[in-house]
Amino acid sequence: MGVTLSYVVKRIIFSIAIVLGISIITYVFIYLAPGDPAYVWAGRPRGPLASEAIAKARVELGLDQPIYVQFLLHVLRFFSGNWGLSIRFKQSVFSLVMRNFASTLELLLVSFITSIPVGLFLGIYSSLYRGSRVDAAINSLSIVLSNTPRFWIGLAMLLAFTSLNVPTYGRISDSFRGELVERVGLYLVDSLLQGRLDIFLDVFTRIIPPALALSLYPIGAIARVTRISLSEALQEEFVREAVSLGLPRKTVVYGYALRGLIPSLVQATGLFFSYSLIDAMAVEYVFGREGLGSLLVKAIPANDFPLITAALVIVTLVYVVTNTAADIVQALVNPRVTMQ
Amino acid sequence: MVLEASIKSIDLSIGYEYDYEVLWVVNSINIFVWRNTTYCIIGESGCGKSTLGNAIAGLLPTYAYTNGYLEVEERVVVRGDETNYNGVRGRIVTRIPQDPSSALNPYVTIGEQLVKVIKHHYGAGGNPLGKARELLKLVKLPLEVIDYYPHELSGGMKQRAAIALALAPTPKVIVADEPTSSLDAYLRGVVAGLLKRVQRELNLTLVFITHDIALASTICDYIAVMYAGTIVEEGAACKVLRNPLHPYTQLLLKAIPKLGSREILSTIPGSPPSPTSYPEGCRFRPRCPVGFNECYKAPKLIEFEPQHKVSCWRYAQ
Repeated sequence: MGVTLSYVVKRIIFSIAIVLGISIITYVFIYLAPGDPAYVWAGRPRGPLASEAIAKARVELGLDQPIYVQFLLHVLRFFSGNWGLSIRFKQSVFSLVMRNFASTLELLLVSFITSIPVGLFLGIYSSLYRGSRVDAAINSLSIVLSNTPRFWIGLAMLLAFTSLNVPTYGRISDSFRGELVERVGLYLVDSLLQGRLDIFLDVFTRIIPPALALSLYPIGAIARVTRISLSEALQEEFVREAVSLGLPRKTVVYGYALRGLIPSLVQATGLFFSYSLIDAMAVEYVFGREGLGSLLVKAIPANDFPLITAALVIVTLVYVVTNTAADIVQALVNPRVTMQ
Repeated sequence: MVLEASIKSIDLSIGYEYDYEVLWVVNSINIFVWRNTTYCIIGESGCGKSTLGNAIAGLLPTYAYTNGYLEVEERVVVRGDETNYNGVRGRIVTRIPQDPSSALNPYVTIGEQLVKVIKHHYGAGGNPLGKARELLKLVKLPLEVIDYYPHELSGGMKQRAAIALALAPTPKVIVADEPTSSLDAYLRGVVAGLLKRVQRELNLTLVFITHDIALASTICDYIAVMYAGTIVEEGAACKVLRNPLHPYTQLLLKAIPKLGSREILSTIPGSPPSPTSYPEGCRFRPRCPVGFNECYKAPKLIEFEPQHKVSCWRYAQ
């Protein structure tokens, strides 16, 4: 419908520019930050030969050159697909980031698959019964939910489940780790592809508590956004006209009022999703799961610039993708909008 | 043509909650609208015209309070504080809103909107697309409009499409709530003429709400003049317009510009009172040029001559 090729090209150029900007900013900030990546790269040496080792590491990392050369090299390598080695982990940044991103993505997908319908239901219900006690209850619940500290809920859940002897720590049981063949990177999918239901159940029970802890914020936020915008849309003249024409309540709410809200709801949900990507940091840490958040936590103290940049670029790309998705949905739903 | 009541109200009052009190926006109204006629409700803004129209069309908000009795096409819709519009909306009454172009769903083509309404009321078997085409023909729109989105139409075409949409459930009563206020003078006449023609051709009852007395005079059979939630004068259009009795009606008629006239256009000083502070007695008293002591008591609507009622103490004898 309303999406043209030039729009796609524009979006791609725009995303490249954003990624470039993000890498400049992170690089500069890491450069200015205290700490020395060469020290970490050299293996935190001590003793009489330490300064020599650090100087050698500095040359290896190219840190002896002026910053613009460093940065140019970094960006050129980055865009040519060579993301280099992590300074702290001495592993390929690409595989590190992808493995952790898959873990986070799996967690967020499970959490959003539950929170989107629940949030929408609460929001629609409370705006249809606006002013009633149910509405007041839902509204206060959503405020509480979206402001509960996730790490605290996570800790409480971890303690509760552990005391019930339900294993929730980590992403997968250690005994299964060797048996699982990673294909997609999402363990839930991989275990099913392998046909191992026992691994699937193990992964599933471990992902539910952190996913629940993470879904509190989106549930509350989606419910509030839906409530406010649907209450407004129900007052629109064409919605009231649909009532006057005798159309049933369901058609009026879902076919008329909610339809115009889809783009903004997609946009808001995308925003909450990207926000949760960083928010997952604490929850992942509490539950001992690998993930982008915990990866960043480990990378920042080591001034691990290749890893930090790559992780932030992934986060940025998720932002760009969700925003683009919202734009495209807008163009599909609203005939007055074309993406050029 | 059998003359029967299409809309009948007895002491109908409608109010809204305001600061834990009920503000009565429409007060004890008795109207009687014959079938197949055009009934105009005129008055300044804020006189309760739209609220009355919404009550007839079943579009009162949930927080509205009602009192009295209202009957539309032999269906009791308001009795005391109970309202029941089930099966009345669409099949019996539809409404054309103040800005008809906003009544069209911006996300769906005109044809789809018409078909959706026709399908809901008559099922998919009755050739809804054909009926939609007939409706477009009736309001003199080209047939290709069926595939257009509302934003692709001009203002006048949107009006026609909105009228077609209001006619889609084949209602018996149409409430047109200032349908022309967003149009220029030329389109105003065209749309009013179209409504009148449709009313005659389809034998509808048209309730036409407007503040434009000149427009009302061209299309309506009966006129009710509303002021501050009450009807101050009511009757056959020719009688009310030729021989206005209530000072408010007289002043309204003086405020119409006449072509070629060199008279200075008069205005009515002040503005209608808000429902929070209705004056005691006759509500027009503070603005009335001919008020006297009797006006501190509330006047009743009395019959001055056949088909002409007025609510003013000057005619009480």
